[in-house]
Amino acid sequence: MLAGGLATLLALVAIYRPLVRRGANPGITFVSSLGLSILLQALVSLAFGPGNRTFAVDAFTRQHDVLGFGVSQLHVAVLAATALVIGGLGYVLDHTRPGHQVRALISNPEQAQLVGIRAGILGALATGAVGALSVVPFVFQGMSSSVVLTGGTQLTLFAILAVIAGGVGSLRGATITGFGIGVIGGVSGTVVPGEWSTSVVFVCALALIVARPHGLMSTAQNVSAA
Amino acid sequence: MSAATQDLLILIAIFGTATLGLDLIVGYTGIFSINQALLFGIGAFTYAFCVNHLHTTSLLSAWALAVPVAAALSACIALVSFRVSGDYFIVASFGAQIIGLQVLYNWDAVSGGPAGVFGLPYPTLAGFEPSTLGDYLLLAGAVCGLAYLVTTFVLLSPYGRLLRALGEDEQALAAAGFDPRRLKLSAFILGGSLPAIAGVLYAGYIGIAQVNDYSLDISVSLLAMVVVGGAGRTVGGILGAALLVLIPHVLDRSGLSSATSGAIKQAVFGALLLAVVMFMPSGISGGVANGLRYVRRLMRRPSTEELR
Repeated sequence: MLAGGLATLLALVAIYRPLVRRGANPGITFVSSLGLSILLQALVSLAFGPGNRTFAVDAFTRQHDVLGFGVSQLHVAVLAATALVIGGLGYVLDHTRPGHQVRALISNPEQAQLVGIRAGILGALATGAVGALSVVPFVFQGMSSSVVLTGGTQLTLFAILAVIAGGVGSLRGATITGFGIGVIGGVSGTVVPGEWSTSVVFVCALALIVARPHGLMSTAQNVSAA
Repeated sequence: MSAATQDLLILIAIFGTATLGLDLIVGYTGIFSINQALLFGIGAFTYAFCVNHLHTTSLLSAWALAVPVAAALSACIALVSFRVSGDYFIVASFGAQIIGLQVLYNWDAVSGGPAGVFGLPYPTLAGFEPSTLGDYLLLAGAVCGLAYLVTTFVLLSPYGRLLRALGEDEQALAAAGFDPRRLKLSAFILGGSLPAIAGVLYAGYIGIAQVNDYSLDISVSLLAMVVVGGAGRTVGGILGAALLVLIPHVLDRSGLSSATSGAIKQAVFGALLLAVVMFMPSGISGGVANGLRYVRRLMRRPSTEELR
């Protein structure tokens, strides 16, 4: 988590902020993130090799019968970590002074700075926290099966879909759509052939984005005026 | 000319044709779209369909089928851009690519499923039957040259100026009485047709059409070619294609092991993309143009005697 947080912070300071200062559009920023992601993947591949990695612990993934369901310690840990991350994040954003400041900064950066919020430091801290938290699901992924260098793309895409479909700026919306994406992905495998499940998830999420460009519960402004 | 050089030039011409289409969308309307590999793939699989089911290797027949399909799909993606923009649209176009490729992957009759379609012959064009690399280079080069001329002609026309205005200030364009939606739609239709044209040539050249060859990586590479070469400059995409086709080729010949060379290729690609975005926002063609302008300005600087 420390490495994830520091890497994200470094990317913010060295790449994204200079681009935003120059007035780069979201597309250019996105291309820079693609470049960075490709570069990092290559460096990790050179350092550790390109193969799959697994850090599964048998005792942790062994399933026990609980009311007819196969439940492992990993399942419990995933649920506990999810509750901790979402609950903790919600608490920080809703009930602490830094959380209120982050929300103010997102909703109106100029006004937030006028009332004395230090946008640079707070933005950097929030971004570092995002990088650190992003590591959590990938660690569980490695414990349950294996991780590959390029495996993050689809999970990240699902995460972005959840944020957009839920409504940018709404933790509740992102949580609901995130769970929705997980449930649809799982259930669709029993209704349609398994290889279609990714498509089903995307069709549902895209339909939601097109029907409600602001997302389920949004404060977003990133919607075409056309 | 050696076979390796001809091979490189053919690939540059094919990818250059595809990037001309993407540049219309990214460089002129300013909409970043990541689904060109799908449109490229539609061209490839249409050619495979023509060979295996219609028993024809005619380039014109394959284009006649592929271009309307790719243009219609691109138009559907444009409809999404009416509702969402910026990062939202990038993700939506990403999604369209994934859905489209899964449809192709599962449509065995056309795509051959996971195994793909093999043994595709070189396509023929109105009696011209390429049989050597030199012939194919002539064909791919002519198509790329023609696509370049048509694109340049379109962009120099009043319609092209409207497209540029759309990328610069959509609201001002609407205030002037033009319909931004219609312009976006037409740009996506035009921009979506060229990758399909290139895709037919690509499948005919390599003789194989496999869904995995048209993955997200190819979409990212095509976008990188446009950005590295210089978005919004017609020649930029072709320059970017040349660079990003040449770099892997040079690394392949460097004697490194395939795993190391693969990772180094990837690192160079990522670093180049980052460096261009950070230090040369108008791409290589823009950088060269700015450099030439600077040199010209230096040469025109009046002497001290003239100033007196």
